[in-house]
Amino acid sequence: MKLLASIILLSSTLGHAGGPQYVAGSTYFDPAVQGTALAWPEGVLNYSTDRGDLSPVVPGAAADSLVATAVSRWTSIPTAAVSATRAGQLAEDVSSANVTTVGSAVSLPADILPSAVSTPVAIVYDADGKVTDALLGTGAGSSANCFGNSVFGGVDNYGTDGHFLHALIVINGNCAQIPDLQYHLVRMFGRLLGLGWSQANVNVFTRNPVPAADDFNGLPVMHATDPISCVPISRCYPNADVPKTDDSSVLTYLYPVTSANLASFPGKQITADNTARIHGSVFFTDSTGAATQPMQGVNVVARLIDPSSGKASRSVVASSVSGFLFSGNAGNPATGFSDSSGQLLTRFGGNDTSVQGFFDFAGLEIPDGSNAAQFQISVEPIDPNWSQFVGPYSPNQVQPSGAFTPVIVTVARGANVQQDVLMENSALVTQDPFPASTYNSPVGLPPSGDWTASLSGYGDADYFTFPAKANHTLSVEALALDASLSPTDGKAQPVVGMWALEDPGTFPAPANTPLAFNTQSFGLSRLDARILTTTNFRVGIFDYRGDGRPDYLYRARVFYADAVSVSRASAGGGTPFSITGIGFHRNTVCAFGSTTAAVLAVSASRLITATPPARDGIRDVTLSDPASGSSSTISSAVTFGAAASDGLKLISGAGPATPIGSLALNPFKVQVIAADGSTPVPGASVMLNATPAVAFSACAGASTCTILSDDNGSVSTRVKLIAAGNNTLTALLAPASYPSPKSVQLTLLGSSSSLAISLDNQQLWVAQGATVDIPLSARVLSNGVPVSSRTVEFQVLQGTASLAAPASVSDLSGIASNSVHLANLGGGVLISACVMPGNVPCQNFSVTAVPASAQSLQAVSGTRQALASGQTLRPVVVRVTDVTSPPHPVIGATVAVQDIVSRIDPASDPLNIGGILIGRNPAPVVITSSRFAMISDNNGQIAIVLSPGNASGSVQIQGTASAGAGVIGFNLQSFAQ
Amino acid sequence: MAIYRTLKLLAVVALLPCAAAFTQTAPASSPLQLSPAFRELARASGYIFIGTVTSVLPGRLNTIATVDVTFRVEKAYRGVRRGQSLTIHQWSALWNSGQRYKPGERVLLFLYPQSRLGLTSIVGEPAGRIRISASQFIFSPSQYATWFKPMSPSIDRPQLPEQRVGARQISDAVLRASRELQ
Repeated sequence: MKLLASIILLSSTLGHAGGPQYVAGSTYFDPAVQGTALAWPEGVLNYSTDRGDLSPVVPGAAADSLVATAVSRWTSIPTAAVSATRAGQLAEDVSSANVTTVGSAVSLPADILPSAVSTPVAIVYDADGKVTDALLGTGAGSSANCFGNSVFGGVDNYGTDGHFLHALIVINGNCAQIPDLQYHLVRMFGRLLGLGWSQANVNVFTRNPVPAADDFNGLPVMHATDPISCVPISRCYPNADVPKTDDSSVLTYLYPVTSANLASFPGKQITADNTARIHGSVFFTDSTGAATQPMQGVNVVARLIDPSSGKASRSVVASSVSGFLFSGNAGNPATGFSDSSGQLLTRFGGNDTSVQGFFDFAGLEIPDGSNAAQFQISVEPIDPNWSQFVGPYSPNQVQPSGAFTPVIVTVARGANVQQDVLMENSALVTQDPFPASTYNSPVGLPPSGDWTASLSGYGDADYFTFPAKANHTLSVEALALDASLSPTDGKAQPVVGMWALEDPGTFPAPANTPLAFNTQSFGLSRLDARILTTTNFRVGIFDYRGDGRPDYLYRARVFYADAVSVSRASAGGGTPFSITGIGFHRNTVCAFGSTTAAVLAVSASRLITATPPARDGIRDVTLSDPASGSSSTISSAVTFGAAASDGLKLISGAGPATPIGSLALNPFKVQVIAADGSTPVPGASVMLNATPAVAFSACAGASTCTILSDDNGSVSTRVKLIAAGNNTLTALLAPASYPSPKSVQLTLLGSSSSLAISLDNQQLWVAQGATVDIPLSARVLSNGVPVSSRTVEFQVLQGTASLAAPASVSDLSGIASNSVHLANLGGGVLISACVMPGNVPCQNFSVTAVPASAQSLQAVSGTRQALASGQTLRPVVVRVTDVTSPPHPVIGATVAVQDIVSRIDPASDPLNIGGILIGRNPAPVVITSSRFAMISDNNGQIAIVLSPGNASGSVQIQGTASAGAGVIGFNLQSFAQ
Repeated sequence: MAIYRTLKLLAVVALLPCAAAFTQTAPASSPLQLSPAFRELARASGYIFIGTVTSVLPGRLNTIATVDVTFRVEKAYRGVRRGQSLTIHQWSALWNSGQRYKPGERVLLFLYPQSRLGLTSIVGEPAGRIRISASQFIFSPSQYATWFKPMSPSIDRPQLPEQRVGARQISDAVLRASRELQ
């Protein structure tokens, strides 16, 4: 026999009751005793008592008498082969003098330690409560705490042969005179003898139904919990310290009197001859009513049928929890197979599944004078509030499945009757919607990422595999369901484990839910994991206790955002954005950083949104489910506006000295370019400023502002100089986001003279062959101040053109307006504008004819849009340019536009047909299409206004704009909500 | 083993199972009268806090086997600081009597002051340990009666099923008791 050297940590699975408290498991104990209840060898309890007094008014001898009386409550049961003998005294008066610290070392008397098997039951009289204080905490030994601390301790050592070796009981002397000390001592001896807590007549506590006197009379001593208001206990129930039928039945089971041991227990009766035994198993049933899997954790109740009334007795009642010999928590691969303190969970509770539903009324008393009796056998759930630690299941109880109509069993004295309990309408075994799986053979995730299945069959587990990427997070949910598919905490306790697929088997799982129901949602367990390496993973769903039954239904989901459609988005928002993954629902919320974006369409595997406005920089994308708390984040998924590595390039702006008060010859134009040096970056923030102040047209005349690059990555502005001398223009790339922003500078010289003329659009590029009218504006200035009422004479110097007027007079802004008509432009045109009188000063307008072959297109805005239906699409704006560098806008060019309006199905998920995944990309339903031409305006641009018209549902407008060699595509989507 | 260290557990919230299929929530506005028993419970406590169990390990104080439980203190009422990592040593025999912990559990605990041996335990078990689910504190009928009802034979009254009480009401109750005892 092997001794356990230290005080045992009795695992959380040992709460076997409604029967014995301890059942030998498959580890630690000898195989021969596996599945049997632990008890004292030969039923003999030799106890040693303290040498001191229990209290100043209860001397040692009186305390010994108190102990003897308490234990005799059990030893006097005539059909139980148990006796107790006071073997003598401990070697000392156990007190604060010897339960103490010596230096830094804690010291206890040797003969009360778990290893002191020669004093198998040590009973300490803690006269002043100081021992209680020392072991439970300062103040615990006070008389104010007698309800919980008057008697404590229990079995603390056992052998591998399935017998107890040592126990310690501490009686708090400060509670010596409370009336309930005897009651607490009797319950302690019940535990010490190996009885677990039980449930019979729980209506005494629940008041449902209102208890009658017999309910109180039948309440077992070993009921699990007392209301704190039951002080003294007699306020609540009579004869509380007297074992009842239920208590004696269990004690008889543990310590039967047989012909072999009868001689050691004079006056006792052979159990088998003087009682009756009813035993059996509780079973699930199939559709025909036949027994299937055993059902554990059902409180089976035997009530004597009162011969006089013919009714089931409330006072003569015994209980036995089904599966009391079987493990109630064997652990699972996700959370492991050891308890918190490292002890194997299989240490207690058998692993023979044939006893998974077994119950046993081993010592039912036959009323005096009778040779037979009838017992009603019924079943009931274990009350999780009042009987939390009753029965094998731990943690928590399991609601029975189905119902059982009570039966009457007639037994004769000495009978041994089997009466199985077949639960009617219990849960049927259902087929999971995926093939069977094992750790080594996980199956692919259902394509939606959601599934409903069961953990049916003891130890059942469902394993799945799927790929996931580094720097992503994900959630795996498992919601416990009852038979009506409603969330429950009274059935399976789902836990989730996750491993890399290569992992040959690490238990507990590297990522797991440490407990079931670890979320704010009722019945829901959730694993949140961060993926550190891109690889394939295995996820497993288990019952926390390693159990599996047909009624252990669950709904699970892997919530994982895998990839995004684009890695760049405009800081101004509105960039169409889709995320692919699994497990998305209609309530899925999408956020970029901390900013939520409206979801336009969602399927289980794809979510479509449009990005919100956001400051330039990198953002995580997070999908979440507010109901379950699940979330999945793709770290650094998208860059809004400018990235830190982007650059800024000066496109145009340099030019000759400019009269102050007039526009510089060339627009100040920069382009945001990605790190590759060529890819334009749209939607990036560019701050313009100038020293000294100028008027930027892009800033509505202000000297500084921040604007976004267009779809070509460009920012362009006309510049009106205000001050003479050098003007430094600066463009900064996203200075609000980057402390050392990229920048470009340009210096323009402002000139000042007593009389000057400047032209707003001095250089024009017009499509060859075009017939257009172009406004001409000439500014007359004096040292930057507009000069009004001066005549400006216009004259075509070269080419073919018609002026609207030969001259015009400057207005209060100094502007002399005119226009030129170009008809079927064949070549260049030069037009002078001179201040009269004297034709001084003069400036020339130039018109360059751009043939179609030298035309191209630039996207400006609106080429990619995603909106909710009902919202107005922005125009698609493109610019016609020539093919020079830098390119110039071309006026009057013909742009061919074609578009197709079609209905789309944004929420189509792959189909799973016989386990084969079929991607669905249904051909769009074309609603309408059109072709038309537009002429570029005086900025070289066209604005294409598109609309889905009367089309309903989700609609897509795809098309192209083309001019010369340039083609720009566009794709606008409108999603029905 | 590096290849297997590809997963990292994120913070996992509230870690206690709900115990009953049906629950009753005390109305937020209902006045909760503290019972004398609760005042005794609070008076006897050296540590009162809301915390999450971060580890449970077998320990030993020389000849005495212990269970060493470490909590991350989330709300401190007495004897601890918010954010503190508190390790208590519990006499291992108490594990058997139901004073068990699991990593990840969130609880409101009332513990005796540490004894001269360095041990402590729950005051008035089970009333001194209230489990928490989300923002609600879940009381068994017995616990609820200990906290909030006048001491009288509850056996004479219908027993309510599991009670859920909001965080504010609990915080108020604990603070009120603490103030009264100062």
